[in-house]
Parts: sequence; structure tokens; C-alpha cells
Amino acid sequence: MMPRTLLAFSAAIALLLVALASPRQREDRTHLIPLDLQGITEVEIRAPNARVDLGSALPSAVEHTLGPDHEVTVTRQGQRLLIESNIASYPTTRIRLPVSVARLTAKAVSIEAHAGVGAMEVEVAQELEWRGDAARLQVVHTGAEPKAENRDAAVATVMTGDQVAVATTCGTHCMPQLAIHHGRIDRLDIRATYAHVSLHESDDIGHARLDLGPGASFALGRATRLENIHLGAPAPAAETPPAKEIPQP
Amino acid sequence: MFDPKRFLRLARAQWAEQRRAYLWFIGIGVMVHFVVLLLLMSLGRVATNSLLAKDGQLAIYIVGLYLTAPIFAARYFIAMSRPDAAGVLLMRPASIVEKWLLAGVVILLAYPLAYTLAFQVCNVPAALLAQAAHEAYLLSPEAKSDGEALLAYVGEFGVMAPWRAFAHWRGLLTIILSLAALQGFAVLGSLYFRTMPAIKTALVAFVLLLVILLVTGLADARPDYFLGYWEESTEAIGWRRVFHPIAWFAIPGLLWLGALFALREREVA
Repeated sequence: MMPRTLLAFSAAIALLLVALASPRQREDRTHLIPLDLQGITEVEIRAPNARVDLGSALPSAVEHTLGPDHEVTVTRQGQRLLIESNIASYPTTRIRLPVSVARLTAKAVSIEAHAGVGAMEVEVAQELEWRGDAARLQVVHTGAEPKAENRDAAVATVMTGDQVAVATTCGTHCMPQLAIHHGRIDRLDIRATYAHVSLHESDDIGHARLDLGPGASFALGRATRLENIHLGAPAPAAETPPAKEIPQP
Repeated sequence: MFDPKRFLRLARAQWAEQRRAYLWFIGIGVMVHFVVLLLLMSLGRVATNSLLAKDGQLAIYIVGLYLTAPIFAARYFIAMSRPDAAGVLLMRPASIVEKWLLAGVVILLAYPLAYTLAFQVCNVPAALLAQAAHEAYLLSPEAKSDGEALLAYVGEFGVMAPWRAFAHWRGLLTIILSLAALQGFAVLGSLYFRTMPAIKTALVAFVLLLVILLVTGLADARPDYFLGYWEESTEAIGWRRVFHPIAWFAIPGLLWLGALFALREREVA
């Protein structure tokens, strides 16, 4: 027939199939670092896309994907455990911790409590997602409000002159998000100067106090009552301002 | 085997014979683009239509290129499907290599350049119109009420320059090599199948797609390692570091080589 033509075509297709059907490579597999958390009350995470499972049935560990240069190190500093990744972005680091950890610090973290948490303080600089039950949850957002020129730079690049005045402040979509998705929380305290707080199931929160700075905002999802939500300004160091009640509808 | 003067004569003869067909092809493309833009402008608000922003224009440009380039390639040797015209084409005073090279130059180089210029025929006025509408919108109270989320979503307005979009060699190489493979496949099909080449080539492409889906599914594979190699080559490890770039070049190369063999075998036949 046309042997050379078919040969060239078959070779191209064979190459394509082999290339596309490449099995998952080493970085797709996960590496497990068991954690010894005896005496540990505080955990600091310096890893991107950190996902924390609290009170999981599985033993405490750090689970991360292997990359050619990806390393995760775990260092014990007294009662504090430091989990650090050498990669600033992707991939995800999953961390399983017991509910006994009292304080968790991270840049951005997604936490899911599989068992009821007693009392916990979470300090984040950027984003937080929380799912699960807790008796007391305290969230401190340390991120500061960006300078106006940096905040509007992206929008201002497409506009000139008077148009810049149209783009005022950045909306809630580009603010750091503190999202409490679901879970029964007896007492929730959130302190933030520049973040958007979302309480998706605010009815499940016994008492929520939001100390929000002028650059922060909040949103309630599926709320049928407001008496459990209390607003205030961020407390100066070692001083708590009186809570301001939201007017009842 | 290759005589530059003869090659130029062949190119002139090809242009003289086929220019109307080429111009019609480009013209139909421009008309389709015009209709698409007209629909985009009439169906939504021009000032905030992200498809009329620079990123949207680029998306339309890429989709149009990937759709039309293989069709153009498949039509290059369309005469070969007609016995009388095939004889005339094969008996032209030029070697098979010259005819094949000319096909490569026209399909791989001239068509993308012509497409890029033709794309701007309708794109420039539409983009300028959308830009003016967007600038007026930014000054309106409506923009304030819509919020910055919408502004961030629709992106930057103005005329998109494709060469700026391909400023990074990795993206450009991905497009050049993948397009060359698709065009090579279309040319090979148009030469290999003597009757109804377009339908048969499309059928082979469909079967091939099913085979690829089956193989990658059964192997629990990650095709994105190969497809995204030029974008994320630093993440490739082991044998992939060597095999993937070779395959990226070899696949279009082999398909075009197959087209050369098919052309030669048609001449012999």
C-alpha cells in the first residue's frame, strides 16, 4: 500500500500515545512525615495551600506531594512545632493535627475539624477557611490594609485621568477572606483590620464577636437571627472595647 | 532535488492558480469573524463584554487559528482528490520535495501570517468601538454601582496585538508545534485518501481521539505533563525531560514527512 507513509504516521501516533499516556510521575505521589505532637501546644505553618485536618482518625502527619526540589521540614521549638515548605506556591500540604493544639499560625490555611475542638486560636496573615465544630475559636488576622496606590494599581492601569477616580477602593472580592463555612461554634472571636469575614451559617454560632477595622467587612449567610452577632473595633493591645450590638430587625 | 529558481517558478504558478481560492478562504474567514463580532455586540453590553477585551480577542484569535489552519492545510492539495487535476498538479515542472516544501511554506508560514492580518480587519474596528464604549462606561455612574469586581473580570480593552500575547517563547512554541502537527495531519490525510479525503481524515481524527481517551484513561495517565511541557518543563523529571521535547518536535516532523512520502507515492502511482 503506502508503507513509508503509514510508517511515518504510525510512528507519530505511537509517539503521541506514549507521550500522552505517561504514567503519573514521582511528584504525584505523596510523602508522609509522621508528627510527634507530645507537649506541643502551638503549630506554625509556613507552607502554601496548607490544609489542616483537626482530630482526624488517622495519625498526626504532614502529607505533601513530592517534587524534584520540594521539601517540607518539621522543626520542634519547645512547645511549638514549625512546619515549613521550601516552595512558595503550589502544591498543597495536608497536615493532620490533634484537637489539643491550642494555637495555629499560618499565612493562609484551610482547616477542617473532624472532632469537636475545645479552644483554639488561629492567626493568619491572609486567608482562612474553617469547617467544623469548636467550643471556642479565636481568629486573629494580622494582614494590614494595603496602601491605596498599590491597591488601585491594577485597576488604574486601564484608566487615565478622571477615570481613576471611578475606581475607588478595592471591593471585597480582592480582600483577604476569612470564611467560617459551617460547624457549631459556641464562641467565635474574630479580629481583623483588613479582611472580609463571611459567616456562612451564622445561626450555628452561639456568640460571635467581630472586631473589625475600618477596612474590614463582613457578610452573613442564611441568618435568621442577629442577637448572636456582636460588632466592635479591633482591640488595642491588652484592651477590649465594649461590644456594639447590631440593631435588631 | 531542490532548485531555488524552479521553486520560485512553482511558487509563482501556485499563487497565480490558487490566489483566488486563498483570498476566498480568507474572505470567508473575515465574514465569519464579522458575524461573530456582530453577535457579540448585539447580544451583550459592549462596554463590559469580556470577549471584546484584549484577552477575549486573543481567545477568538487562537480558536479561529486552530479551526481554520487545519482546514486550509487540508484544502491545499484538494486537487489531488480529482484525477484530472491531480495529474496536472503532479506533472508541474518541479520536484516532489519542492512541491512539499512550498506546501510547508504556504501552510506553516504564509497562512498564519495572512490569518493574523485578516483577523485584524474586523478586530481593529470592533476593539476600538468596544474600547470607546468601555471608557465611556468607566465615567458613568453605572460603573460605580457595578463595582470593581466587574472591571477586574472584563480586563483591559484596546486592540490586541497577537505578537505581544506570544512574547514568551514557551507559549509561542506550544502553539507553533501543535498547529504544525494538526496541519501536517490534515495534509497527510488529504494526500493519503484519494476519495473523500476530508471526511476520511475527520473520521481518522475522531477514532484517534477515542483511542487517546481510552489509552490515557486505562493508563491512569497525566496527558497534561506532555501537553503543558513547554509551560512547565522545569517540573518534568527523569526520562520525560528528554522524551517530551523530542516528541513535541518529532510528531509534527513525522506527520509532515508522511505527507512527503504520500505525495511521492501518489506521483509514482
